[in-house]
Amino acid sequence: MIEITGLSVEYESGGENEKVISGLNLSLDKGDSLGVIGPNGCGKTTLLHTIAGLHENYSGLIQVDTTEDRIALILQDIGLLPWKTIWKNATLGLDLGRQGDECGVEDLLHELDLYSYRDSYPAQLSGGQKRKLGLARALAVDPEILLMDEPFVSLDEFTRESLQDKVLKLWQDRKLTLTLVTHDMEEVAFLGRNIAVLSQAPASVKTWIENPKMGTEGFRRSEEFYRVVKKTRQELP
Amino acid sequence: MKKDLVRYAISFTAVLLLWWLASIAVGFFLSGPKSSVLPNPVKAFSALINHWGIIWPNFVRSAIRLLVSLMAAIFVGSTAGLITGFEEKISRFISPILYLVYPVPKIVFLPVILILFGLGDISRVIFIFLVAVFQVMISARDAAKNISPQWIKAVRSSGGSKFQIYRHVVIPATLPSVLSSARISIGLGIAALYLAELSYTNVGLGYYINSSWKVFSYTDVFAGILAFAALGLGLYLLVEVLEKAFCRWNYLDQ
Repeated sequence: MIEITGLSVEYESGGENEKVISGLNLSLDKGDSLGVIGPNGCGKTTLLHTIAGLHENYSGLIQVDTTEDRIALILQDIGLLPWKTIWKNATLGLDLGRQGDECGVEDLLHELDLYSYRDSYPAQLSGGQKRKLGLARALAVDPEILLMDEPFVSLDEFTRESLQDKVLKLWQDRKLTLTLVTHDMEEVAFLGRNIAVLSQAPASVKTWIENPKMGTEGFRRSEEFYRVVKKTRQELP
Repeated sequence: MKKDLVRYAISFTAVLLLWWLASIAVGFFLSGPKSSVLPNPVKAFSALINHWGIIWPNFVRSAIRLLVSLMAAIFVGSTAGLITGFEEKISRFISPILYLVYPVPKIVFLPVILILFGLGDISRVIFIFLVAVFQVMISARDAAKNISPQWIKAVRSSGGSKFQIYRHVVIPATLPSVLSSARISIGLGIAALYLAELSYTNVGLGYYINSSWKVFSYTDVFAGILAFAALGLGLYLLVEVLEKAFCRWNYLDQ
């Protein structure tokens, strides 16, 4: 569960405080998924980083029904450490003292077709494989809440769809509480059972769209999917 | 590895050839005692082998002086540099001091060091340390300043502490720059070692070369220079081995 009440975040920019998020409220049930979409620079990433605990200067209330070490964040550019092998990148959270076990990571790497690369380095992976590794690293610590910042940006259509399918399956299998930030209207409709359309900066939730059929068989090709995409497009400022 | 050996062999042969040609030219154009100022490589290597019993203790003493001072300079310089580069508040205080001290030629401190710490090895080690430490510190500081914030966020968002950020990001990310500066320090350190061994000592390669100059024994001078070169080469190779072992990720496309 994620419950945000009256969240405001400010950055110091050129000696002045710039408000990025203003009085944002949202609520997400345990095991549910939320897609966050909004115009460029509206504060989507800041929202995710604040939930993940990377920003300490905020006002308002963020409540989660789990401890901080059960929240995992996938950064926009993944943040893979180039000097660590694929295995060491995937087990970073465990090395830092978070819970999870190496057998689980091995299974994850098999599931994401990365196991044969375990001794390689991130520079030797393709863009899609790097994204998968980011996902493996986040899931390695067995999180209850998964936060994803533009997880499939700059990937080709085929790879993106295949990774979205994988995330959907993992979300369903592991009963994760998922929050995804993206620019992609189809992605937000495919992975968000709830969709929050944010306003221009300083961000607040402009529209909340419910997407109950998300995750059902053949949803991506259904009329309902295109209806949700169309509605999201109409609501974007 | 085999390719590396071939490359080294070609370079070595080319240097020897140029040296030989230069030695012939000096002998041809100069007359009297000056004509023997540049002995050919065979004479120099023969002197090195024949006088190895005398050169070896000097070599060992120089190597110890150089190694101790460089290891201290690399450890202190990289630690101070990483902290200065990574901690903005500390950088604001330390950077101006660094800019002030770095350009001053450290040779000017040699007499002061000799007076303060005596004529023994400690003074020489401190002098070489001072020559090398600022260069390492500046390289480490610049490398730490350029660390990608995404790497820090990756560790922080996985629950990493400040110490873990240093361990998993700052140190490995800056290691290639630190080792690169270590390589530069070897050159600076050997030059400083030579200067430090010119006076108030009766052991060391600098002393050996200088005393050979005084008696016009040019082949011994060049035998000493060859020993210096061997010392430098050994240290360069050591740094290269460390780089290949700890920064493998930096050589993936090689």
